[in-house]
Amino acid sequence: MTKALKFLIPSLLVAGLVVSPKDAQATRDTEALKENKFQAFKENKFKAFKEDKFKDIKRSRAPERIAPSAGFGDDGGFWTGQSKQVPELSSSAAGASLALLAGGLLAISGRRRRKADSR
Amino acid sequence: VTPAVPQRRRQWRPWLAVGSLLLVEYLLISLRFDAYSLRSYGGAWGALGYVGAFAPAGVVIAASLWLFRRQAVSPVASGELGALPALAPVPEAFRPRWSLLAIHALLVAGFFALTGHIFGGGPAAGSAALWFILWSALGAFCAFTLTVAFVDLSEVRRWAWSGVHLLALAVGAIAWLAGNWTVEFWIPLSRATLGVVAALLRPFFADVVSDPAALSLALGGFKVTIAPQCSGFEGMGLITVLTVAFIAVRRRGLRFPRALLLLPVAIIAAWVGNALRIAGLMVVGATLDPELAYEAFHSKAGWVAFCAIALSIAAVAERHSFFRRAPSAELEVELETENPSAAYLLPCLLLLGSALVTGMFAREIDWFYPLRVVGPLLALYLLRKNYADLLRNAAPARPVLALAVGAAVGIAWYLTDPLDPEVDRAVGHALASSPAGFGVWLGFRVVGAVLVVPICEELAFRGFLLRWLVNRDFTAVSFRTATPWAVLISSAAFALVHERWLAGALAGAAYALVQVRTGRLSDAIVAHAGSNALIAIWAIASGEWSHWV
Repeated sequence: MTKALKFLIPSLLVAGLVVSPKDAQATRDTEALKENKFQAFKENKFKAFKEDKFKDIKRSRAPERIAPSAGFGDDGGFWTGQSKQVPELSSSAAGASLALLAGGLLAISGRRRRKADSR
Repeated sequence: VTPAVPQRRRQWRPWLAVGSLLLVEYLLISLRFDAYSLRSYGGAWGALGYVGAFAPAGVVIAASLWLFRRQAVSPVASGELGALPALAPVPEAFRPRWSLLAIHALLVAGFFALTGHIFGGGPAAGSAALWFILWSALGAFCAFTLTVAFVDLSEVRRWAWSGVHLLALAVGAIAWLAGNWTVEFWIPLSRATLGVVAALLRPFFADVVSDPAALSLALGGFKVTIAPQCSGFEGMGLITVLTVAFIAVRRRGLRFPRALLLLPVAIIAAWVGNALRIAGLMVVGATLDPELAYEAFHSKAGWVAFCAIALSIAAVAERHSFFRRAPSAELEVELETENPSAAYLLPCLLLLGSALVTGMFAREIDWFYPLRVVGPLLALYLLRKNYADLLRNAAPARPVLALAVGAAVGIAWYLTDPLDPEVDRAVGHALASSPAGFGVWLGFRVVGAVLVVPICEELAFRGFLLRWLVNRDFTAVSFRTATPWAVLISSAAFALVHERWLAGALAGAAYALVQVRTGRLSDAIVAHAGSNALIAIWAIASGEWSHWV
């Protein structure tokens, strides 16, 4: 068991690294290599748009509720444009989160010692 | 104080230094140059445009080699995982070979120039293959000189000739290929995430519309498309790394094999957490403000969920007897023990945590700022008995020096900070529309900046981290003691919690030097408070709120 763990733990770490966020260029390049896959994905979206599956909703949802600045298409309609591309991660929040995580782990796993007054 | 660090732990440091520097160099080059533009050219030059796709392979294989190095350089005869020698001799602290580092710096400069020549514009004169071979060779030589600058050549040779590095190479390569293969699951996983989010919302809202084919979800007039990277895969990968690293580091206190259960629990929690994040995004966007949902909630809720899950997993593993090995007799009586790290860290952790949570609902002005003051103040009050030693020497030893350093930092900070007219306009509008409400908010903001933040951050970064980096029993380390390494790392950590990283690091180093010079934490607090007070007064007087809000 312990011998297996010696190899399992580094292997799991490496495997986890692979699916973790990568830098933008590497991610984009990987995606480009998978271009066919994403092309199919885009086509599916386009098909759904063409079929206008949501035409009932399109009528009932007032387009004026959807601000053009929110990025819902050029004509302000529903399902007629790409969704707004929004930042996935905030860099300042990333730094604070890393500090919070590291500090939290240190606090949780901090060394316990006898209290001075109980020695 | 003599650091009592076991030898094996010391062996990490040179390799860690090599890995960290290589990562920084890789990021600098990756951020500066973009091979993507070469794709528009045909033939071999066009193929070079895809070189970035293989960069993760390099990172993953390097990580794999590093993680497996222990089996190569220090084979463990004992069958027990991670058996540490109880009384290992303390080796000398590692010192880089400066001449090799200088050569490495020159080579990196050359590599940087060569990268620019090959990838910085269109095709260069000559054969693309030859340029690529030259570039790869120079890159490998850069990595080699950095490695031997920190690690003994004999250790590198032993590592290179062992069979383990072949295994590590194979694991790294397979993991990279497997990782790319997981892209296949992005869309199915996004679809599953969409289903869970819709199921979470439907009991509360009647007008939830989901389109699995287009991966779109609408609530009221608010619509989102679940992008592949929002499927939850990245969070699952991150939590895997963190949980496995946690299990590896804390292995001696955990019960195996049941501790491995933490891994699937963490992965499932990360995926569910991502679904909850998207559900929250929908609610905020549909009921409060779409822009708030896009700009604040979307980019911060993921971090909040990730921190909550990771810390919960760690807390359960450390505290629950199902995972934790029976404590030693010394630790059985909880009332008689204390955890000094927690007392130094908790106020700052509450400060950071509350800022992350309130930041999810803040655009230009964080109207929930009072929560960022009340929480840490409460923690300081509840933990007050733990600061008895500090309070005995609470008066600053050299307040004039501390204030002078604080003022210098404050002036430099203010002058180098660019203005943000949008924030200035938003604050001006808030001031005009509700002077009383803004006055209350401003009161909390001043108390937070001048009192709460300096105390909490100095307790954590100088009181704890600076001394903990010198010795794990940090309470035994004098406030006058610090190593260059400790100042560097604690300042870098301090920089992480500030948006302006370089300025934050320099400010942190200045406060650390004040503490070391005066021998008191209170002087560092006074310096920090002085900086923040100066910035606050300057911003209020000039109306340039964006320097401070």
